[in-house]
Amino acid sequence: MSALKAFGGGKRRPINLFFAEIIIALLFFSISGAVIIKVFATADMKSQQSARLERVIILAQSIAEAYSDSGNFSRAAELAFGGGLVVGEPAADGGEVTLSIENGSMYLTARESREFTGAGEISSLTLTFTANGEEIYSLDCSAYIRNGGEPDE
Amino acid sequence: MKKYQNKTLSDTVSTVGSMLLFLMFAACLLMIIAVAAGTYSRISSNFDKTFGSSASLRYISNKLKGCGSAEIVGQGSGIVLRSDGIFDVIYFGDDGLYEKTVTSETDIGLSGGDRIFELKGMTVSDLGELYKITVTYDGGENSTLIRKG
Amino acid sequence: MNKKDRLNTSGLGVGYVSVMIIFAVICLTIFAVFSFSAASSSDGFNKRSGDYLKQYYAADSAAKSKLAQLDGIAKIVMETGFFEDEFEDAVSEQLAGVALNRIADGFSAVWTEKINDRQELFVTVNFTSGGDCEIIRWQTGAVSEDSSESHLGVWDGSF
Repeated sequence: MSALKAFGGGKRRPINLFFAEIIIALLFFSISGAVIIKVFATADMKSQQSARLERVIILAQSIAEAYSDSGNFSRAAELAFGGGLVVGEPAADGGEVTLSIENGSMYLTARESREFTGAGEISSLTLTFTANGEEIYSLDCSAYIRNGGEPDE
Repeated sequence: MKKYQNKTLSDTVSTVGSMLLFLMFAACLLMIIAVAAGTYSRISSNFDKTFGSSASLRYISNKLKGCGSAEIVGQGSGIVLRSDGIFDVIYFGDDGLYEKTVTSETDIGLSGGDRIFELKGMTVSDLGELYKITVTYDGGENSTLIRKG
Repeated sequence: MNKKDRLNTSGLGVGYVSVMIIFAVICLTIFAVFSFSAASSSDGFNKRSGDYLKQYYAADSAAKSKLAQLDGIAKIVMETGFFEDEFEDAVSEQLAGVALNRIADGFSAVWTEKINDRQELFVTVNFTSGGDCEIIRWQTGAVSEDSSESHLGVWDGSF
């Protein structure tokens, strides 16, 4: 009571329950709001990541299917990206090529290795999609091209 | 009446201030709820929009991978998947993707199927050794390539 | 001024703010839970789809590797001039899990690659003595289950 008196300059002031309630309510709201905002932020981030993963999976399937048919990454990428993409150097002979996709927001790294078997060539392609240095999705696929046992020179 | 007469100016100001504070508080809460509802609506509509297109692409892709042979019908608006004497017809019509399974070749036609996805368009094109399936939905289109069986 | 007046001079009753806050928190919690649920179901669906794609291409690669080996064997055997006689023996010696059926002018090689617990990749390739290799079937299908284990537990009419 001495503190209240001090606030009122010695004059007795009424205790305002409205303000007391609003302070307690705001305290409760700020704590629960922090948790709720965190849940919203996580949901939003998950939703964006999910939409990106969805696009990437479809793209990976397109490239893998085209690659399985031809064994040629450049052709597969051109078919999958609709010809608008120019793949500089194909990732042949154990090479690696990185493409910037989705307006530079993502990168596609393709690693290719070829092995000559008795009657043809089996080539393996690893597609890795990354964004902000983090891997989103990766897929391994392969192609078998018969060439009568003569390796491509 | 005596009660009101006893009220001082500071009490009146306090009441009005409290009222204003309360109104501001109520408005802020409503705004926060509206923002939350908007975020939920955005997440939900994004999911709905893309789900139909990607799920339909995956569905057709998996069907193609599991069929014996396939043939484009209706100038690319449909595809007939054959396996073990059963014909599975997947086609676009009336703002949706439809599917029907028939056992006789004479029953193959782009009508009478069950609606499986809501879409704005679907085309299948022949790229030599590959099929290109393109689906159009509200706000975009999606496509994938699949090897011929 | 009585005790009640002393306690509340704002003109607003006690409890309105609490009710509003509780209402707002409930609304926000419901929206947050719905948003999270929608996002995580979408994420789960895509992850499962991505995993299936990996499993499918792993089986596809394994089948291609087997095809390359078979083709290599066919080529070597063909060079000996006794394709019809030696191909079967060479395949059974070098490759497990491949069934060979005789067809006109060659063999039909049949094998499966497991995609996951429910699906398999069924492959049939014809090899002829003329050096041809033709893929007849490259198709996914359900894993063939033992009928005694998969039947539904319904009453068959017998006691």
